[in-house]
Amino acid sequence: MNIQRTAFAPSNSVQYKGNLQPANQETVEQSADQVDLQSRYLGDSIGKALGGLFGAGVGAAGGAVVGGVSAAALGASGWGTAGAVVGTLVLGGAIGAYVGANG
Amino acid sequence: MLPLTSNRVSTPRPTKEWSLFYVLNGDNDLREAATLDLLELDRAGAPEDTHVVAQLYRGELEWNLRNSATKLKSLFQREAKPVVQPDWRGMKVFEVRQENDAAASREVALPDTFASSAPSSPESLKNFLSWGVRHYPAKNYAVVLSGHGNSEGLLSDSKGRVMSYENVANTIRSVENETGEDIDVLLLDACSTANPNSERQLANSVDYAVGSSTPTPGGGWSEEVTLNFLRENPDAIPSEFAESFLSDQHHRIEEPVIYHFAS
Repeated sequence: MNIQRTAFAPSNSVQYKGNLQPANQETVEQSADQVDLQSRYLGDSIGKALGGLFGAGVGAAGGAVVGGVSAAALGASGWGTAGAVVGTLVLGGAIGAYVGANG
Repeated sequence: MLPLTSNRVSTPRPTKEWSLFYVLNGDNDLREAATLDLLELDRAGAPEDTHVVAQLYRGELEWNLRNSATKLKSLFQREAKPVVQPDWRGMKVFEVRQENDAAASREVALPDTFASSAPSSPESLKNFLSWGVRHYPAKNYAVVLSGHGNSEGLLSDSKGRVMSYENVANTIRSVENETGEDIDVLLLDACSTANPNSERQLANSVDYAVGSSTPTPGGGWSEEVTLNFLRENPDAIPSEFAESFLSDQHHRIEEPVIYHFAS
């Protein structure tokens, strides 16, 4: 295989800007203790479930607004309440499912 | 042109046995954990025949839908104190001090191409590794990707974006093609990175990949143990270095797994 070597301008040089300056030892040790309690886990199913829950909450609020508007539009015909419930369920469920799948 | 500084060093770096490139991703709630990794590298010092270069990101999680679960979880954790002074946010690259150098590790002035670096960006990883291979030549190269991970990818950033294993593999292949050098060992220093997806995607990109099949604590693999291995075994071949990550001296890692992809 023909491998191309690209030149790196302007030269093979390294320039320094300053030193690494750790905080005092006590701060470093306290932070290390705290870090020990953390995990490097990004989250799979639990994270998605939490994301779905969060999305469902947002969706429910949005659905309530849509439902409320529907109820106002339909007035006293008796369908306003049903519109609010359906709007809440459909929009909340859709957003919750989307966020759950992508969270 | 590279920006000028008062203490410019123009001597080309000599070729050594090993070059280790660390991506320490603290562009999330692991900000201080990633910085502690750098301090551990600094404390241990680079072995005489090894270059050690670390790219450190320091950021914090943003609120957005993609990030909501991790952000919510972080609200219930006590935040670690900044371990460097002055405190800062962003990305810097440090050349870890040599073991016989009394001075601390030094920040390296970078080309403008690094300006918009993000840990989840394949382009940013390619920039760093291509630059690193050219400036720190060695007979053997190892890359450590450190941060959050799961079965889909790692190096999640403040916006919740993640680098997939496919992007990791493609980036490494691209660096190898561009520089003509092989990346011998890849350490995935994050949770649950040893899985069927990572194994499938990383094949044909590096000779050896090491990951963990279980969640790992914030400290991850021990930088001190890693550098001490190369200090005691300066002529280690890639298989030996990769197998060193299985040592129980890396006591935080419960189930390390090594993949051998070399033909």
